[in-house]
Amino acid sequence: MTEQNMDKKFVIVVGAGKTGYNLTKLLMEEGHEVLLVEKNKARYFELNNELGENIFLGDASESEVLKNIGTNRANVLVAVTGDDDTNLVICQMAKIMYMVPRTIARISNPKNEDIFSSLGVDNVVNTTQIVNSLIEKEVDAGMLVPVMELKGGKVEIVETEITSNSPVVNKQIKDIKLPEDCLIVSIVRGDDVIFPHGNTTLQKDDTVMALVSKDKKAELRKIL
Amino acid sequence: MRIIILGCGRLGSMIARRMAKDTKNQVIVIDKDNNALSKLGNDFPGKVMQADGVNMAIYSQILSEKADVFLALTNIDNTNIMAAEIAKQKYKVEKVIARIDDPIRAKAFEELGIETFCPTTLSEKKILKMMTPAKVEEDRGE
Repeated sequence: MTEQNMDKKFVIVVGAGKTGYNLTKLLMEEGHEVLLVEKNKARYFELNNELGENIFLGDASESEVLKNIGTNRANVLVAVTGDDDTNLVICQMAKIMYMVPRTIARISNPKNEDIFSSLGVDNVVNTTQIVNSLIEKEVDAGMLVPVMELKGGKVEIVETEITSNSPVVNKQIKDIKLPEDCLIVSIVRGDDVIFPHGNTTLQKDDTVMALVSKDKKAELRKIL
Repeated sequence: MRIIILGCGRLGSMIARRMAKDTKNQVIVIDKDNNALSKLGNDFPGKVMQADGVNMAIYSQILSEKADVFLALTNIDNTNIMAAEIAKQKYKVEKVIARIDDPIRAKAFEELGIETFCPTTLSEKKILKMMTPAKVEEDRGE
């Protein structure tokens, strides 16, 4: 059931702020079944005309609400409310009670990043390119966006957009002096995913995904 | 014992005062609201800290020294859960107890190894108990 219908997913998005709202709209455009959950009545009614049955009024950290919105058949749950604790708990409940295969939490306080991963939440921005590129759109270019933490949190997959003034633009990967413990794993260019090798040339607006150890992140940021 | 209490409402402050009566205990109370902390009074022998319970930074400060008990007693379930998990998983505090008002949520996190208590369930039991004798008498009366 999990891998068969890869293209169409049922995605629950919690929190109808800017991120949640835009994510919902884009995922809908991609043809996914999306349900946006918002607990604030005013915000709900503001979006209700536009989103219709794709928006639900309720507090997703209430177990009753999770049950009513069909969390048990969700492929992905994305918690992007403004509260770290709420995002964490919703993801954990989706995991424990409904075995949702992928849970993604937004973190506002960077200091909380470590514990989120050690608490066993997926805390993974979906590797299906769609979701993570959508989330990435909300973030300023030039930043390393954590996509996934590998066990222990010592190694991370990060992504960043190559801007026109980046020192590596129009350079071949073999000519870029990457820090140790760092590997460019893929490049997203437009709609294409490129599996890079040494003579792949980085272009402006490429999204680069890299596997990097935590203590080399700063170095990588400087280089890109 | 070194006891950390998050949340200085009625419950938190009551427990804090009770635990601090034993001079062998070192009690530290955290609340994001300074007014809440002032409820403990000037003669409170323990330590108070004004801080947000979901900010990791304070725990690295407080929990780097071994704590015996961590109580998460705010009125926000999610805050209590997150704080309790930090204490339990990251800082390996032996006794971690979290207040969770939503009974189903309480059960779910109990399974994750956090000791929880649920005021809603406790009140329910108490109320039912209080009602029972009256009901029995009523039944007899009929």
